[in-house]
Amino acid sequence: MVDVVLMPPFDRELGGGDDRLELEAASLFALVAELDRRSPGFAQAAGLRATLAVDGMVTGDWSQSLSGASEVIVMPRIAGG
Amino acid sequence: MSKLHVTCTVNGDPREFLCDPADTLLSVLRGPLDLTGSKEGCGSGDCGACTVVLDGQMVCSCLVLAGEAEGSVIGTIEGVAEGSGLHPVQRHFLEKAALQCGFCTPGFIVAAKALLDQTPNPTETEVRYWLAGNLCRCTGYDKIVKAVMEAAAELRQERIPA
Amino acid sequence: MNAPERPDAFKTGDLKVVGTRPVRPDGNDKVTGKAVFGPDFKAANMLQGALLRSPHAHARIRSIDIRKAEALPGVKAVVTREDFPTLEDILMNVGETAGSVLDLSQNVIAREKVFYDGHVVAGVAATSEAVAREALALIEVDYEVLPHVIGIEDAFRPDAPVLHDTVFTRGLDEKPEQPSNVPLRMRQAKGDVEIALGDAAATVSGHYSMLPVHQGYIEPHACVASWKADGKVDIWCSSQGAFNVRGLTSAILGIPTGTIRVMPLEIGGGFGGKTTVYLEPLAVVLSRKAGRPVRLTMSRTDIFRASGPAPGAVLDVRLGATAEGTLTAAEVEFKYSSGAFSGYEVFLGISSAIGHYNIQNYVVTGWGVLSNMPKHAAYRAPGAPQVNFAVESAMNELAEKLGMDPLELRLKNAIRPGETSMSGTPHGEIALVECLEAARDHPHYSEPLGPNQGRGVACGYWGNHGGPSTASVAVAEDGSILVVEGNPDIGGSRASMALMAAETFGVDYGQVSVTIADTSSIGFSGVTGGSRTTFATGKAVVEASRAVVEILCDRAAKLWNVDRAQVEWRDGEAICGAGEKAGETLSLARIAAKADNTGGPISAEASVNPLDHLPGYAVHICDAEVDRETGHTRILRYTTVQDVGRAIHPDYVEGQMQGGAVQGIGWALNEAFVYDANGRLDNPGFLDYRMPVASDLPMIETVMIERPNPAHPYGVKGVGEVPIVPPLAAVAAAVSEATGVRMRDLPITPDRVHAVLHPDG
Repeated sequence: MVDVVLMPPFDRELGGGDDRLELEAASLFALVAELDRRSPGFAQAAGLRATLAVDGMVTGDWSQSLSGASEVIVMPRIAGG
Repeated sequence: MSKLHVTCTVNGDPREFLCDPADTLLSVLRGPLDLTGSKEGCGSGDCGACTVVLDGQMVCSCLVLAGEAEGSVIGTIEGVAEGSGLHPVQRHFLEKAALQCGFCTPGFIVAAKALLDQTPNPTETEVRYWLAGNLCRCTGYDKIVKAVMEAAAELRQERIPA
Repeated sequence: MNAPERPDAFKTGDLKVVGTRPVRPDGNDKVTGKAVFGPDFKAANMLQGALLRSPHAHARIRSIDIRKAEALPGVKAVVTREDFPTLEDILMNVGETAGSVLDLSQNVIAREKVFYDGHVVAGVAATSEAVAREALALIEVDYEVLPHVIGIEDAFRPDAPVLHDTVFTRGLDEKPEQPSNVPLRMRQAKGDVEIALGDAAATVSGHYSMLPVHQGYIEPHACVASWKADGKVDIWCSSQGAFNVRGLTSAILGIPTGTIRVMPLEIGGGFGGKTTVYLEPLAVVLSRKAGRPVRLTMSRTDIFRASGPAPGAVLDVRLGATAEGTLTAAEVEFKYSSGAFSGYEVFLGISSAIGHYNIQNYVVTGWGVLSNMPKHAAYRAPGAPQVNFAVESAMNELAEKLGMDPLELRLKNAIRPGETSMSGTPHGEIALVECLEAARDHPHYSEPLGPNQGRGVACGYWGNHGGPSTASVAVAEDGSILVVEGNPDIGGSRASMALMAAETFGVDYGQVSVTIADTSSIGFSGVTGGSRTTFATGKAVVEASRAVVEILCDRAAKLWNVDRAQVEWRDGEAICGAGEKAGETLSLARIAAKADNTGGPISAEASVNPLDHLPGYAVHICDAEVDRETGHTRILRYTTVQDVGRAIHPDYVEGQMQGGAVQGIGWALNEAFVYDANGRLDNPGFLDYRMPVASDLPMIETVMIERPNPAHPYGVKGVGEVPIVPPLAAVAAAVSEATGVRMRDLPITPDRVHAVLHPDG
């Protein structure tokens, strides 16, 4: 099991207002798929809308294994000007 | 609409062109004369990116009608460098990193050279007021003012007879 | 956001080239007028385009009659909304992100309604600009003028004219039943603010406001597009990202990405405002219809009416602290304008509000508000300066209330490495504390002030970014190093890339050349924006350079007939470590000369997607003097201190610090979008939209705090955006001290200063 921390606006969109979930997922791809099951449509836009961090490290490689990981943060993807 | 025939000297070369009465000097420089170093940032004389020297006077070429250039002597950014070498103002702009995007740079260099041609030893305040007609959005002017001051110092050295 | 030091972090070691200040590779062309910017490019047989723009702030388009315009001799094409794909097509093409592309498409050319003064309604391509303009006057548009709304609070009201009947506020507890001009509410919270404020020894609260401001790049938007009979499209334009232009044009027009080739021209400033498209899709459609290349250029008036700006804002802040100055509570609520279509600055405002402090109890709430202004665009640290102005102004007020030095108050609460960021990740090697200490110890901070003078400070941060970039590196036949990348050089990045490549190879800076390639000549690279280029593209350049060094060592091993493991690379040469050639060296030039006999040309490409960037912090000190008679404010002295990671080319880092500070000074003192009663922009020119000029300013002093990012080979953090974050509050605090009245509304124009100094007129 991994703790999923949902930063706004994903707390509302994916957690129904809760900002924490516990999920079973082998990789970030699997975690995104699980989130999509709970909130259909999330996976399709996740690549453009969300940034994922595993135990404090942001990663762009969603094939990364979650075995041994304790926390995943889902935050809005931001860039600047 | 009949065209005007204009003969003038640009960067030392005799040039002639046909233009509409409403054409600006800037549009002719950038168009038929193919001198795109002078830039149009506003078209209203507020940004100085089109600065040229017309019969010894620094002007915004977007505010001059092309027909007015008849018989005149015009200097643009393309004529500032001496052959393949750079003018000291250009060199100090490079060495002091006085440009970021470089779009306003031709106007600044023409204006700065015009200042130093008539005022070899300007104060920082004089440089800042002289260049107040040239907008730069990238640099905050700090390195531009320093480059002009250093170019002035070098030019003064050159003027001292050996 | 991110990243404690990792075992695989690159070692910076002793640097020989990085950190020097050579002349930039593109400098010569830019001081002699040779550089080709957006408006300078010409294609053979090119037509001139012109655009018809709405004179109304809000209107329904009943009909558009282009017959007379089409009949005018010299007119080769007229396009309207009919020539663009229908909205459903776009939705199908781009999936759930269609929302933004849909908005962008409608911003490029109006469909059912025009949403702002200057919104494009039709386009013409003709044999001359004069003919094109004449044709515009012949286009007949039948408008049904609708009530409009400009101001944030006006647009927020339930009875306001609604722009889009499809917009329902997201982020509320219950989905609203009525559409509104409020696409989004977003909230981030921790602890219990009400209890903490109740328990606080000192509290401050305040209401703040500012109007939209423009990025103010001097180069107008311009492009040339050429549609060819085989369906391929060439676009020449200046932008912050050629790949971005390609992708957005492809999505808006529904044509395959691979058929579009975008040639990046030199860019004359962008500041975020050239990370979108305005003209390119229009030029492509005009070219398709005319069968010839078409040029479009925006006038300065149209740039102000229909591009940019950054959000205006209304903000409320409450802060609470202990008597010793420890922050215990922050409540921040802001509304940002987004123009006629949704923006994303609210997200960035939330993440930029209070993340530079360690606060246990907070609520930060942001609202996006639509109104009849052009769709807002990114502007240097988008969304951050607005909220920072309110929070940092409140911090200065709190310091005064506590009787504390404002920098000491900030030091007491500053975020430190290892502490949690607003995004939930732990902070890596950040240096806010060092910046605050350097500001406190700077001679500027203790210089005496005269009458009518004041000093203000503020600090702020920006998350920076990484993301996808590609670079290739080749060795020429004589050993020269040729770097190719895909990021437009907006402020000296060619020089930074050359420095990093030269450092990696151990060669002179002058041995490296850097080319910015078109979208068909290099792999994908994100925009030059988000303070990401030197970080992410720099990483790609270093990785490709390392791969080439590896090849060079391999070739040297072949030439010496030794194992690869016996070859070491040092100072631009291969050194043989074994056999009869031990101790011999082979230069780059000699290895290059033998390339064909050792395996062929020597080159490598690297594509990266680094996300281990770190934020940047800045502390600014501003001295101002007010003229009691005129209300005019003069900036006397200005110092910027910044956490820059490692400065690759220090001149251009300082340049970012100075330029950002001055844009912030303009924002604080002069700049604002002013609309008339009809919703038309009243100041669409540089005369009335008053940006700082040289005589307005002193030198901008810079202090670079170099704490390298361990996740970058040369320690880069990203420096371009944070300099615009603190100036608004720093300038306002200086004027507040000079006048004795706290300035909470921007811009602080002479009439506003005069009014507070002479309340009785």
